[in-house]
Amino acid sequence: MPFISKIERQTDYNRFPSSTPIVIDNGASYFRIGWAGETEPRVIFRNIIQRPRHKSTGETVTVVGDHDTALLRYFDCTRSGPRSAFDGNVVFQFEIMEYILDFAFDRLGANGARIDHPILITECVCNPVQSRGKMAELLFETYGVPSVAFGVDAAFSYKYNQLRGICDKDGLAICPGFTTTHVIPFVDGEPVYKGSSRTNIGGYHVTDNLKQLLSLKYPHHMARFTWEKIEDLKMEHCYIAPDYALEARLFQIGSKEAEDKTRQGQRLREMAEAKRSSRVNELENQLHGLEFLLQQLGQVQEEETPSFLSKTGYVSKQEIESTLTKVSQSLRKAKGEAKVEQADNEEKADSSDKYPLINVPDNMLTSEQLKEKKRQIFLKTTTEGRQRAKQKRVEEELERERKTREDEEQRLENPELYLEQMRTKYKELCEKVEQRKRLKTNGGHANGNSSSGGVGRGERLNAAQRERMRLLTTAAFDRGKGEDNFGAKDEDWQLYKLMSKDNDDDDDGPDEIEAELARVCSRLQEIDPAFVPKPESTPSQPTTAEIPRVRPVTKEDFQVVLGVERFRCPEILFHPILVGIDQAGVDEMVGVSIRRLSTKNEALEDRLTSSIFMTGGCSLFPGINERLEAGIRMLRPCGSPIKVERASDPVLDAWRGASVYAANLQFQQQAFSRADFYEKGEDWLRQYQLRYTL
Amino acid sequence: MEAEVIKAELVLPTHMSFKRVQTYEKYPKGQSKVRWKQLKQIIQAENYQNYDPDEPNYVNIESPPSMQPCKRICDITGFEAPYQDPRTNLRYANADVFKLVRSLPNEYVQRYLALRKAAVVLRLHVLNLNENRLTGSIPESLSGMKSLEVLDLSHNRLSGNVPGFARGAEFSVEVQRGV
Repeated sequence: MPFISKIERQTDYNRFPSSTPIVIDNGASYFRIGWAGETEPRVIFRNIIQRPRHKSTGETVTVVGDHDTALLRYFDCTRSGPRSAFDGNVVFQFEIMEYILDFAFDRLGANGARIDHPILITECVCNPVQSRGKMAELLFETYGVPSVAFGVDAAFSYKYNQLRGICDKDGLAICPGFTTTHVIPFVDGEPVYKGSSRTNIGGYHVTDNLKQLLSLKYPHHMARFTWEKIEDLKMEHCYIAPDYALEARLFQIGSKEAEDKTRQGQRLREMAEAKRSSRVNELENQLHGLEFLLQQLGQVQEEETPSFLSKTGYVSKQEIESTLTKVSQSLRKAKGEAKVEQADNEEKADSSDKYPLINVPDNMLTSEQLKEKKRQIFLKTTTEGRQRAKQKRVEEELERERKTREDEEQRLENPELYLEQMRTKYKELCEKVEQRKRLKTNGGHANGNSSSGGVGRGERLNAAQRERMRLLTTAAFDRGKGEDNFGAKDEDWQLYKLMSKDNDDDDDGPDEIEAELARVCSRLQEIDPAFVPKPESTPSQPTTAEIPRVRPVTKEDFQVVLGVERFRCPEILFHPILVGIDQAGVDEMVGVSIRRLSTKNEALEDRLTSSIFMTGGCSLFPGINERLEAGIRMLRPCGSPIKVERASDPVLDAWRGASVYAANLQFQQQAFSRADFYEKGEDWLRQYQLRYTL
Repeated sequence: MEAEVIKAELVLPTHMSFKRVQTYEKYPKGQSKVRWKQLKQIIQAENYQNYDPDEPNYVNIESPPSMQPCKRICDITGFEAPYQDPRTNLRYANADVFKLVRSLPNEYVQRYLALRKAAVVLRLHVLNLNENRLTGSIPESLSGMKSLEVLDLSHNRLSGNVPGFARGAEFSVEVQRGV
């Protein structure tokens, strides 16, 4: 289920007194903002901006979050992709951050001269002090906030779930996020960052991997695979296999379970359908509008025509009519009908008035007009030639269609007989091709053991090729004595023409037979289930199989099949090496974290592993619990207790935890004010840590 | 601005009543001339080496490399892949996939390799940086350039350790006196 953005402007901003904190969950994927003490954030949107240029006015505007792509057509988006304020999980682009905060506060309903509420904002684990300082500066200076507090989102989520009994006061929080994954141990309800660890892999990498794999597998669909669509696919179909090797083997042997697990991307096709039908509707509406306009024009009096026309925006009646024809043409094209008649009519109508000078005899024209006449004759002959070629093509099409129809009838009458006939025809054609090939190389087989000096001589028994050989040898060796004056006369070069022409003639004949063979072969493939085409070893077919054969476009061309990719992509959370990131995966990080904590207290370690808590968007993959448990069991001594729990709502719990925290009366003591920030300096800011148990 | 765009409130308004300094005052003329520091530069500027290594900071909480054996899966199909093509370095699962691998055009090969960050980038053979008054220590990442044959860093003011270069690199070390 894709996350939904909530960006409606809230109207009750003034209801809240100045002491009510505003809670912000500033995540790399989504930005959530709301009031402390509530259970749902008021405004949620994707944490990206775009700065496209408006097409008509040319000004650069800012668009925050995900917006209706249809509206973006008024903007030139080629130079501006979506941009994020984050690099990894650290905010570094504060200009973008400012736009995002602008938008967020605006949608929260802020008015007045400043944001007069304390703010609790989330940050990453061990945020560099520069980023922290710039964020505080932005909030204090630009927005006039009275006090600010920084907290870690995973910690808030943990505390919230601790209140609900899902995890204990000693435990491990695993937070696979959008760009990074953290493991943080909690002792006595407080996070111990000394034992935490971070791997730079997250949901972004999973989606990116899926996008690349699908683009490589379906290159002709590459333009349609946008980020949002792939995220949808990921959220709907991806899962984590309990054992990657076993699952992969299932698919490799092509078992029935594998087929059950394969999903086909119907959605792409449906989306294409929807787009097409909406375009058809749009065009029809336009058509009706124009027809109505013409009708009205007909009723209006002569004198009032200009004023009427100026109201509608069209300059003259012809313009309306021409737009009408254009729209009806595109409508027909969208519906898939042919517009051959249209083109013909146009051409016939034009020919009479385009070439007025042709029929006028030469002596009546000036030199200018003569040139004009020549041009018109030329144009006329070319267009006529084109028409004739088109005519011939149409006739050939009809002929072919007729033949196939007869063929079909024959087939339907008596399928068995037809099949037999086809097969015998195929065999005959194959034999003919083989025979020809054999003729070409027959001489070579006969004197296969002759001296190597006669290379190729025995093979060219064909009369034409023997002639060619003769020409070559005479041209090359005849001028033994004296100078070589080949080429002094122009006619000498005609030799090459003769040689190459001789070669060509040879190959024309077999082409027909080969074409026939190909046709029969494809027909048999269609109707005979047991037919296997004989492997052709003709030199015309290259060994690399990438030449696109012209074949009818089938349903399969519009489907996207997700088989192994379903569990291959989330696997990178456990094995980041699969995408080239040489760091520990999620299960290994738990071991690293416990080791870093370096308590000699075994009881504590057992308590930690018996309360493993998962939060963050990526923990929603089905099957991650079992996999994690199995992975951690491999690292811990035999028999130690392991329990893995997922947060009640991995996506929103961080905000909810922060909201509960900010609603607490002791919250004000944990936040720092503007005066604190400027007096105490950077060192103090570096040491600043929130105390999570109030 | 078109009516429907205004109605949908697509565009961020430029003036916000609750701000003391507006964006267009801070960043005149669209793109800001301020170059924001990337994460790598931020980390460098933090100078974490000056602080207690036991204190957790952004750098030392990063995970170490994986201790588990490297999982090898076929680049194209995703099955287990015990084999690797010597010519293109792609991993493949069986003979059919191998045929496919050999028939791929170079662009596709590079894109498959890029999935695991193994794509071939431009190769640098000679890097000559002498007499540039460079200071600081020689970055470790230089040792990652596998195709580097000649690296000349003489007549600079570098300090610290020389990173280990693989494959028996030849280099001459010049010791600077003073600073």
